Amino acid sequence: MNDLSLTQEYLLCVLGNKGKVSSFSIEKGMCLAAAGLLELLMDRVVRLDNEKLSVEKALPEEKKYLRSIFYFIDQKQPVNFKKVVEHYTITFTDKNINELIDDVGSSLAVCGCAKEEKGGLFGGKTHYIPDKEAMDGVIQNIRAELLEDGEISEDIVALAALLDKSGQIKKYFSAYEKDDLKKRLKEIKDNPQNEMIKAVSDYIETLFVMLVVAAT
Amino acid sequence: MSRQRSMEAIQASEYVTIGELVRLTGTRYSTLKFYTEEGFLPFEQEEERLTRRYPREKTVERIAYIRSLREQGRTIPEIREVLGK
Repeated sequence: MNDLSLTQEYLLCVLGNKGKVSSFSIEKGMCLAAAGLLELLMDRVVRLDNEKLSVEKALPEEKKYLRSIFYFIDQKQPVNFKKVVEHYTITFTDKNINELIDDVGSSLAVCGCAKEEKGGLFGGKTHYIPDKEAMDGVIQNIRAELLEDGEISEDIVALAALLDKSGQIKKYFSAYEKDDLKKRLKEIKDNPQNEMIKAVSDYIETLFVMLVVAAT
Repeated sequence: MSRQRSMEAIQASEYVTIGELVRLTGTRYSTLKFYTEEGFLPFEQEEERLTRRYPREKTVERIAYIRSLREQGRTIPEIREVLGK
């Protein structure tokens, strides 16, 4: 199995059988931008101080699929969080979000986790058909961490929260598992020993509120 | 809370979690959970509710062995017998 990042795993799970993110699904686009931002924050490529983002270090070569987010922050820093979100959600065209989808989608194609296909009205768009085995591996990994006792990683908490926020949890988990999963996320958040998890989870919550505010 | 380990780190590790076994072997979580409950995959656990740790090499070999038995058409009760469980 490949080492996929938070953003790559998130896109793989929301692409669907046709290999595209519908432009009507604002939440999926928002959460993809959020996943990219979170990944840059967790890898300390950018930092957040009072809702302002700035660059901490150069974008690693293996993360070049996040270049559009990185360059935007680099050029405008210190830039308000909302500005970054607006860049991907409140525009007259889907150009910016499509650029991010293409960058992350291509990185998935390179590692064999998706297949590129021409699509759209005149075949001018590239769709990224997810590899079922790779996608199942991501979901099995969430199950293995969240439905088991013991340690849990930041990446999985972030991924599960983003899938939940974009309404994708019900697609992959049964009602029984979903209840267990949400109960487990709450237990993790409520345990005082898991301050960092609570921080990540609260952060996604705040981020989503900011995303919704920015998009309205 | 920690970050997810890379495949390189997992492959160099003596013990792995069930999630890491999913990534290492491509076996579904529910299957590994079932094998664990059947006693097919020995693990270590310091206390109840703490992470189960599986010896990587032995467990990966055991999973491959069980898979080969399944491919030969062996049933779970037969595998249980072969493994002496």
